[in-house]
Amino acid sequence: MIQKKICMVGAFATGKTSLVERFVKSIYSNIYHTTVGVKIDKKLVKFGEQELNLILWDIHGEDEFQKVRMSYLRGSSGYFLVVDGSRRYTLETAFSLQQRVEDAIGEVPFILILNKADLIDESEIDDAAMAELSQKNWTVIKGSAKTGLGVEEAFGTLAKKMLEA
Amino acid sequence: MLNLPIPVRDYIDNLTVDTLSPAYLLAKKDGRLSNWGGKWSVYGITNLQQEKYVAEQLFFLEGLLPLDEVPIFLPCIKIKDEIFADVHLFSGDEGDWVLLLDATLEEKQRSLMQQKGNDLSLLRKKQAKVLNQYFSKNDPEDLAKDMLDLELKGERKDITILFADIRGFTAYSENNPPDIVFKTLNLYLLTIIQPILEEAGMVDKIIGDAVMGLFGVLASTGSAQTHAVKAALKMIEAIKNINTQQSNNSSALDIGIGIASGPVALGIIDSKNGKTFSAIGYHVNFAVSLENQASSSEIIIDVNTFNKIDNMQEYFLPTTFLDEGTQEPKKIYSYLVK
Ligand SMILES: Nc1nc2c(ncn2[C@@H]2O[C@H](COP(=O)(O)OP(=O)(O)OP(=O)(O)O)[C@@H](O)[C@H]2O)c(=O)[nH]1
Ligand SMILES: [Mg+2]
Repeated sequence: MIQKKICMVGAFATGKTSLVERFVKSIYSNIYHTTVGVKIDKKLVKFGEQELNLILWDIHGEDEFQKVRMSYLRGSSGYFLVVDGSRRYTLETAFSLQQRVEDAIGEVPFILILNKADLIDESEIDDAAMAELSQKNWTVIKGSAKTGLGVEEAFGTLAKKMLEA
Repeated sequence: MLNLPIPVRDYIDNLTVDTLSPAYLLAKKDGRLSNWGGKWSVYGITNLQQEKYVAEQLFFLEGLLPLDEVPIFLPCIKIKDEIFADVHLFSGDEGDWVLLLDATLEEKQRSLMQQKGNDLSLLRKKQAKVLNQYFSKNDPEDLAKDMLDLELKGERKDITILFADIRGFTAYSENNPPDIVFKTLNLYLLTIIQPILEEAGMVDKIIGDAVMGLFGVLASTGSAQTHAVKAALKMIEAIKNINTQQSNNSSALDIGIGIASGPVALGIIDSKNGKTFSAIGYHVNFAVSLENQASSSEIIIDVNTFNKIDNMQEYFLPTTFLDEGTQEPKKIYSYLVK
């Protein structure tokens, strides 16, 4: 059985826990319970004959007082940068985290999720931000833990990238 | 090595074992389990098997073994429901050691602080958005949408209303050039608004030189009444501070505050200018009346508020309010901040 570790990183309250819960348990809650330390879940995914056990590390968000420890990322085969589309500064946090993660564990596949895509009217990701993103040539997926939009796609795409890597 | 007498060392040992519930294992360099011991059952792990791959048995170790000499410290990992551990990995001659130490209590404590900090930070952000709209004279369209769950549409809710008004502003505005007047007004309004945000209140309206704040609309911990009275105290304090900073005496402005609590209708009103949030009801008007009666640096609260503010009650003295409509005297409470 192949097992791979994936980390969820991003600013606080961007929806890391919600995305994992949507993907693993198909549930969603509006209530915000911040994550302290790390919660670990797993889910088996299949690509035809190929079975892959994803070990999902849902890491606490980065806030004014605490940075994410890079030791949590050790042994990761891939990671998600989670951004809250209704809070522009969470994109900056993602940029800085990506840099730090790459410095710590090297180049592994990752995907940036623009979460909370359901909050269309509140989006703070303007054209300038999109331009900045497209310059980086990253894989970016618009998603919503609330509606489920993009969630399967995001995990599926990252899993495939990891198998190919 | 610190030279401690054996009884002291034993005592510390026991203490560690009791409070930290250590559980350890030794993994061979090929990743298979060679040896283990300690309180694994505390972490809900009971069926470890010799010679099986460790990462298959404990999936949180996936990718971490074998260790490349450098120890790894992973604080506060959730091992099973409600049970957290600090995970330490270090290598020795026989292989890699994995040590778990209980961190459940620490997680609980940190969780409280972190939740409060993050909630407040999100709240401030939302309110800042709303205020920007106000001050940049944008359409205050969808004022409420940022802050309220949709379920709240047209709801009746028990809340606390705070009304604060800048005293002496009319006279001030007549004696000063308009640009100075507006700068000063903004400074004072922002000073009044900040404590509302800090106390998880929402700024409902800014009418000329007065501000209306609502407590108990946004979810928060603690009673809405206590939050409102705390906000009022902070406001008076903050106004005093800017008064002392501003050397020029002509700008010695002051505020009076009225606070009332009770059921009001909260709703979103559609008009041709878009949607605005609104709180309507007797207690809203009552807060305004109490503010009218308040003198400079005075906080006047109604009985409903007084009853829910615990030990802050001691600041307040009972007095009466004469309702102009019904001519009935009502018991109210006042605190004149010195
Ligand atoms: N509208 C909307 N809200 C979401 C979405 N995903 C998460 N949320 C809400 O955002 C808040 C934070 O979600 P979490 O999943 O706890 O965020 P987190 O990134 O795990 O937060 P930390 O653990 O504190 O870093 C919660 O109130 C969620 O209900 C989404 O796709 N749309
Ligand atoms: Mg979380």
